[in-house]
Amino acid sequence: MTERDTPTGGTHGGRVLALVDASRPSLAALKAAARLAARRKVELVALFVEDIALVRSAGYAFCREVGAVSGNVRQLDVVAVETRLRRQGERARRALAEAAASLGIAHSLSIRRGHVVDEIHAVAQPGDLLVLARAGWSAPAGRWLGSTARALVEMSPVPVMLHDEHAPRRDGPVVALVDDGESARETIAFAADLALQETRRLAVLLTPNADARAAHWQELGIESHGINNLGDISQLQSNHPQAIARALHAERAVELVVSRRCRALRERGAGELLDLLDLPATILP
Amino acid sequence: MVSSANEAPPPLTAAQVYHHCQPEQFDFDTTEALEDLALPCGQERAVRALEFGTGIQRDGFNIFALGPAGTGRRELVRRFLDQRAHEEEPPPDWCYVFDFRRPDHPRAIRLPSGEGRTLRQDMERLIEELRASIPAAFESEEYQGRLQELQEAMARRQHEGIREIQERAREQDIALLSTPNGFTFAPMRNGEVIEPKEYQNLPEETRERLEARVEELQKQLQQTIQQIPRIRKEFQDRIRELNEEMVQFTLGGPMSELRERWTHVPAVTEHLDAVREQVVEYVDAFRSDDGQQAVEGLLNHFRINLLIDHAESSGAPVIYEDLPNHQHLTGLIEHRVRHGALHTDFSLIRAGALHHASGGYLILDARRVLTQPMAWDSLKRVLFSGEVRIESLERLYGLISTASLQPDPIPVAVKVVLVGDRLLYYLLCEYDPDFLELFKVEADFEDDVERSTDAYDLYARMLARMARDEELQPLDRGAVARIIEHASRLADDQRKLTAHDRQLRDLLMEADHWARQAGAGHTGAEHVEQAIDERIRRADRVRQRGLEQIHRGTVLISTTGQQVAQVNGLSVLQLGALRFGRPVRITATARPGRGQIVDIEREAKLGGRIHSKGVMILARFLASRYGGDAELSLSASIAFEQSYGGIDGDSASVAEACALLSAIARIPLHQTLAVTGSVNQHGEVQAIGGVNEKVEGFFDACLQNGGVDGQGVALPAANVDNLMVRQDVREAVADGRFHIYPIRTMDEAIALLSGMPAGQPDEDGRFPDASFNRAVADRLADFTARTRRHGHAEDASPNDAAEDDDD
Repeated sequence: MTERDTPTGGTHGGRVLALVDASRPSLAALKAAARLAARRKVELVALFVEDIALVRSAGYAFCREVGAVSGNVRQLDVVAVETRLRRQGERARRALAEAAASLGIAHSLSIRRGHVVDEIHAVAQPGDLLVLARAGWSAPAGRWLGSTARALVEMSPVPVMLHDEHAPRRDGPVVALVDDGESARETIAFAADLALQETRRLAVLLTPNADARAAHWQELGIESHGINNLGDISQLQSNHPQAIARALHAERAVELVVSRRCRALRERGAGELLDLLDLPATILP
Repeated sequence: MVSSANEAPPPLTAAQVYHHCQPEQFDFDTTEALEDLALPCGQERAVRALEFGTGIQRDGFNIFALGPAGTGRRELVRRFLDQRAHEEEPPPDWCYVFDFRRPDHPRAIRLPSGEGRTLRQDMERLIEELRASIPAAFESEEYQGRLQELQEAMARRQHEGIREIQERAREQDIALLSTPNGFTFAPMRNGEVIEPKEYQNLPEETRERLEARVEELQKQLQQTIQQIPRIRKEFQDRIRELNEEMVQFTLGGPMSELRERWTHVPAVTEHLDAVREQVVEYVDAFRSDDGQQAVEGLLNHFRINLLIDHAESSGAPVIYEDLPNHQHLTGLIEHRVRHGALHTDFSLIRAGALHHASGGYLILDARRVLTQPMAWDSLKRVLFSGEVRIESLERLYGLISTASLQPDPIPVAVKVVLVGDRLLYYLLCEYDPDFLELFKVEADFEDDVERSTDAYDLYARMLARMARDEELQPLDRGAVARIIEHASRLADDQRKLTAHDRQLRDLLMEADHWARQAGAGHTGAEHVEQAIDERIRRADRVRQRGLEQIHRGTVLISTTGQQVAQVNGLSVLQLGALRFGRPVRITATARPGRGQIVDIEREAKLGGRIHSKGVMILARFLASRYGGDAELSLSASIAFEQSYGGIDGDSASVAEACALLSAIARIPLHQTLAVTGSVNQHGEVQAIGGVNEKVEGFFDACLQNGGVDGQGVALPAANVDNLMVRQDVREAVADGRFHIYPIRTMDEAIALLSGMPAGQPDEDGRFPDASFNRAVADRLADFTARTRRHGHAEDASPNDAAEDDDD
């Protein structure tokens, strides 16, 4: 409860965690995380998790690797996987040093072996913000949400920012998708902070049944974030992921902030909506 | 009065030395009242040739307009062709468009005359429509919604395939894991991949089952992944269909309207279809904020490059290309510098004169075409092939091999009119085997035209037109009459008028200047006279210096008394635009010898070939007339005294013969006369040139030497028609102070100069006593006798020869 009462990202007390697997999208996410850490003046921690499941799978003689693009079947062995992991770790280290050096931020690299979600739980502290790519190595096979991202969206103890390197450049606002529940204030505050840092407008997208009266939103104190007229507040007709995606597209939104507790995600889960989006999204726990 | 051929002829009257034009015969006050003369008079031959050349529609019947410079050939040709072209239909327009299938080969499209501009406007409007409506259409809710639906469907189909396998695997206790290069499967228990060591502890049956499942799942995954490109392709096709639908929706109206309007030109409708396809193909550029440059590049490809535009033409084109080099004739492909490199595209193709003149006429200066590198060859190639292919000089010379545009050749049907000198025409006929294949029509311009009463009116109208063309004040009838007289002088012929357009225009402009300076409302005879005088005065420094030398005795010219072996000859000098006569003393010596006449000018290499020929003819005339059957025993020399420049021509051969005969006969000749004319082997005097200048030259010399009183000039009777002498000369002739004698034979010249009868030979070939010829014959006989004596004596004692030399 305490975590919910205090806006997680607004205080900038925590660190920026960047989950890196040395894939191109994850290295792009690392750069974005570095910029974020620089703006927030906090430490950047790059986290490289050697997936234990992958190491184990390489131990099976009958297991093969199926190419994500070609579909070709190749032999997979432990030595090769270990070598590959070392190389990826090294690449992550270099990328971190490069990203941090240009911005002059404090940074560290943590290489751990285990399950990604467990390791995040182990490393994350209250106030941290986790940044990762929408998809890592599986990105070439399609633009849907990767399994790690999907799991973290559902279970991360800290806000998860899904970076999308292919997001089209837009000039729209940072959109906070909220219902009129308890997570709304926190979501709007996070989004307002993000908009401020990125010198963007803030817009609020209300779920269909949320109370749209201006007075109610003033009670929430959102005017302090620059939302002082109803022009920046719009209401969804439906909670369906496609309807939300279209509304965001219509707004030319550059970023989405939504809470896991928001009705829109509770009803159908975050994955389906996030699969449809082509913009960075932050999911608050 | 007609004289016999061996007596001195009577002098010409003042009326014979000048052909007046009476102003009273004109019934106009000034040329303002006269209608323009469409074509210059007297050029009927050339005009007829032009009519034929332009009328015949066959290959190779191009025209060469030949004649001396300054006759207004080009102006006449231009005026004729303008009239002709006005009655003809304007030819088609041509444009180049981008060929989307072959980007390096711009496509030429032929359009009905004057419609090129319409097409260009239509395409510009279409482009504006595209620029505005395509992004709007693709940003519309409808399109975005449908596109997103498609993308979602595609994502779903791609995702679902793998997710289904993932679910199926999970149900079978198998994990689907992502690797840097793809996916792999591993046995799982309670959501955890089993340690391989633990796996070995599983019952073999379980292991086999799991392995079989993994293998099966791998196959399924492989198939699913390999289907992804097909799914993508399918969705791309559907997106393309959607794009086409949107383009059709957006552009359907304007495009159909355009297609409808241009159905009569299938090439245009093809281009419109290609444009539509390109819009669909590259619609992403319209949608992207970063695609502005790409969009502009694409839109530029939709434009047309209107090469030939006849929207404002009222007839066939008549083009004069004043710099007929290769590029200006056949067109060129320009380049733009972008980021330090040269770029080009179909919009930078520029038409040449041959393109512009297609369907009409192209006037070129032959000399300029021939002096420009490759221009003549390019012109011939186009005339042979009937099409213009635009190629740079660098490519033609093989100096550059970089890829460039290769525009479609454009067929041309052009009548080329080359304007040039006669010499050039005949040289081309001689040395270029293609020339007569391509230029079968010669339009030969007259140097001068017949002077008749009928011609006066036409000439006056021609002058009227010139005055109007040059925006000059009108000329009164006196001015016209004076110009006609001067035109005769310029033609050196009482019966001709010059056809030199440039000289007449210059005279008109100068007379106009003096008239305006005098505040006259029109140009009168006095202004024409002033213009003529001023022109001479401006240019006659050298002439005046020559006269001064005569006056001071630096140059010896006798205009009084008699002298043996000395005659006043007459020469003509041309310095720039001024031509003037100058008397020259011709002397001769004669002594016995072996039939040699030494031409000192030739020996000193100061005489030209024609002059040498004249002296040789003179020698044969002497031998034939006075030598009889015997060998002529004469050693003579002839010289132009105080002549230090070159001399050529045979117009002094009569004078040379007279000096020589005087030297032989030792009979003095009148120095009051100057002689000009060439002699043939029979002693006939033949016509020469520059007769007016020669007469006036001697007249001026007489003035310098103490005045004119009984002096005169003997000139060939055949040249009497060429006389158009100055007013002061005419006055002296009228007063009897100066005489001009027309001579037909050497005998008449001798009679005039010696004051003695020349003498005709009798049946035995003997000349009468006391005749000039008798004296010559006797002296030559004496030479022969002496030579014979000398020859015998020489046999006895060679030293005797020195005594004879003193004779």
